Amino acid sequence: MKQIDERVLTIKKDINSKAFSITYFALWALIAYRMFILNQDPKEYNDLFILTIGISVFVILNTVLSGVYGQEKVINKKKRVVAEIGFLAVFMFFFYFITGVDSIAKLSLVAGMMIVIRFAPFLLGMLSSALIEKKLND
Amino acid sequence: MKNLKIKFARMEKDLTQGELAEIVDVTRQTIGLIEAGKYTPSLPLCIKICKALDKTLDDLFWEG
Repeated sequence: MKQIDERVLTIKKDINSKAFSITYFALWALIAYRMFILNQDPKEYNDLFILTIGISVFVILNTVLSGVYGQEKVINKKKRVVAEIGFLAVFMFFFYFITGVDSIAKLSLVAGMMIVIRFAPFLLGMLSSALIEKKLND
Repeated sequence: MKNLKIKFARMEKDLTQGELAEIVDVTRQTIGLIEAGKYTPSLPLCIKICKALDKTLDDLFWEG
């Protein structure tokens, strides 16, 4: 059986990857549109939400299990911590002004959630590295 | 950067781009792009091309 030309395969994969990215972000945009502009009841777009979350979980899970999560860049930990603190400060600033929420408890909860969300990639990166090290040593 | 070494090695063997492409299982355009320096082949493809032209990797791909 004749092999497919590697260049053709690479180009096709690249096109499919771009199409996936466009579709993925369009799904998030649709959810945001229904939530904030149309003010629809979440039950009306549950299907879209489940699909989008499902795809996100699929991508993250496969990236972690294949050992490549967080491997694209060399992380300077000090710079990363400073950047994360800066991001959190900017985020909370805009959150406070846009939502008008002034309850300390609610703001703390949002800040806590953001810390978890931003810290989760570190944990996933460590898990991914551990999985690939295990594969190398087997 | 153009890869003239591949072109000359191919001509030594009296092969067209299409014939070389057929031997190494790629399209003629891919061989053309490799020779024009506009596509970087994978290592397995480099090895296939070397075997087809009876040359080593250094002969065809080393930029020395």
